Amino acid sequence: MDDAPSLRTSALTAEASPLMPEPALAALRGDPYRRPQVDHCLVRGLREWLEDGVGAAARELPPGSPPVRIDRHSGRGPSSSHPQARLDVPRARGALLGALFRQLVATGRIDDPIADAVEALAAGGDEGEALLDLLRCLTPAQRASVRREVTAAARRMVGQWGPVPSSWRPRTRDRVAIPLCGGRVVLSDTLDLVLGTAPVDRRSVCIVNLSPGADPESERQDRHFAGLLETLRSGAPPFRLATYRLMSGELEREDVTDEMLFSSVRRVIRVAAEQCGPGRSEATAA
Amino acid sequence: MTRPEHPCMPADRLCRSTDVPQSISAWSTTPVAEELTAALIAPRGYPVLTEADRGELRTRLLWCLERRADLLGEALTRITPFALRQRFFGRAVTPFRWSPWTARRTIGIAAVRVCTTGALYAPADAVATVVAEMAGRGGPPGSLGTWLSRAAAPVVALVRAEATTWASNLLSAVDWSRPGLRPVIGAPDRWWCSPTMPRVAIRGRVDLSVTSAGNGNPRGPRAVLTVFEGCPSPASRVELGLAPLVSALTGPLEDVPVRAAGWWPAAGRLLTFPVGPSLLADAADAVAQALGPPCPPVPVPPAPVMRPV
Repeated sequence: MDDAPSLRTSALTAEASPLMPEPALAALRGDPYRRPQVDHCLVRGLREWLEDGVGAAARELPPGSPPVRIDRHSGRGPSSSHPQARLDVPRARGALLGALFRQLVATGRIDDPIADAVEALAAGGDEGEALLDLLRCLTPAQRASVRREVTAAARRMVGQWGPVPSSWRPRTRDRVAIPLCGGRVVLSDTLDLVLGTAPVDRRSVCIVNLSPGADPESERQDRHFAGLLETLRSGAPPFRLATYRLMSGELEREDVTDEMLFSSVRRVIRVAAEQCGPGRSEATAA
Repeated sequence: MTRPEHPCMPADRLCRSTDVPQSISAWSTTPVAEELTAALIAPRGYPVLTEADRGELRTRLLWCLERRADLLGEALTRITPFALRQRFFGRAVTPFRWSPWTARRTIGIAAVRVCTTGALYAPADAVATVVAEMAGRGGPPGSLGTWLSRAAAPVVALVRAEATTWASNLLSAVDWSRPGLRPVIGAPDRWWCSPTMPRVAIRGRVDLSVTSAGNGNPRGPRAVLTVFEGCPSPASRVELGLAPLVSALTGPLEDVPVRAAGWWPAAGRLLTFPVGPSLLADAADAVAQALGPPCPPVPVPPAPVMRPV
């Protein structure tokens, strides 16, 4: 893009964001001395609770039916259906910024926000191509608007995040798939950023979700769902969950409590009952 | 805090001390890694593969492949775990091409080697080194090095991101410091081509091969580990049997692993199977089914007639 300035981490890390007075990484790390110990009984209890609750719903499934996949968008009704079902400008913008965030974490730099994001989406397969097709169909004014917004958000992102230290073990788009009831129900999610080593005695993992919009309630549920899945996968809850709003640059964070995990389990069981019941939609079956 | 709804949920979790420091960069062995490593190096059990089992397996596989000769085209048919899984679930096998997703394993394996030798500490640093080296070295047309050297910088960044995640998952899954553990990370693929049907090739690929020395035995039994995406499926057992099957068909009996393990980091699940006649026969059947409909049983030669002297 001719009007996109080159963004170098070294040139922009000194910029302070008015929306985030402390650097993002320091906010995520918190005080390592105060992280809770891992409670293995809690994890076993959560899994058994889920197996019992989801198992009751899964018994409704006809024999031989494909597994029911429950993700962060499940159970939110038709108004907020699965984003893969719709292609719109906010989603394309979110995908561009998501690719830039990933590049920033992996390499510590963004050279040309629009060109870099377009290259990354093009390498991302059919979904990325569909989003690029959508962007190509926009009017020149709409394209200019997207370009402006993405460039501004990328500049802010570089200033807030800077290079993530490799010793923090950053992993991006870490996929989680937890089979329940012998694989008849699968809880799945993609963790946008995971920081920290696998836990031994104390909780040591922090998870960051990227959000293209600003719906605090959905973001909170998404965070808790991600925390639950990480707990089930690794056998220990994360110590902190966060949501980074790509467009505004806000970072919402909270320490993981047992009640968060309990509420997420209740929600999963409720959604499983909806998805596995007699009126289940075919779209939920993977 | 409210009382949990499930009776299995303990209520005494509030007694926690918070005085022990924990760095986010700590590198230590997790309970999951201890469990997985222990499963890999557990003492050899039964069943044990014999030379007679191996001969029977080869006969069975050749018989099935010959029955399918007319179904095969001129092109080489590669049987891989991915192909088995696709056929198991009735999906078409798409042609291979390099992408951040398909490149992650090759780069991740090289990065894990770098980290376990102690040359670099963090997977992201190791991946960056490996990618730079591969791209600089290039290679023949179609190779990963050539693709990397021509890929745009944002695509290479995606490759690094995917490979870092992959390598981190394998690094944190194994207790690399266990005494006596002899890991071989990402040994070259082994192939078996039928002597009568050279258009069919079976690939044996493992991500980690482990032997454990102990009790005066410098080289204990070998176990192999493969890292998979997603969560285990009904096809997982035969997928895991493919690499031992190729070992059994190509090498000496001592080279056949005694245990085949699969690790699904996305699910935090480990599956292990002892390698014996049953597992290998099922894997051979899966190979045959991937090529066509079920074939008739191998004809049994008539038993010799015992004549009275």
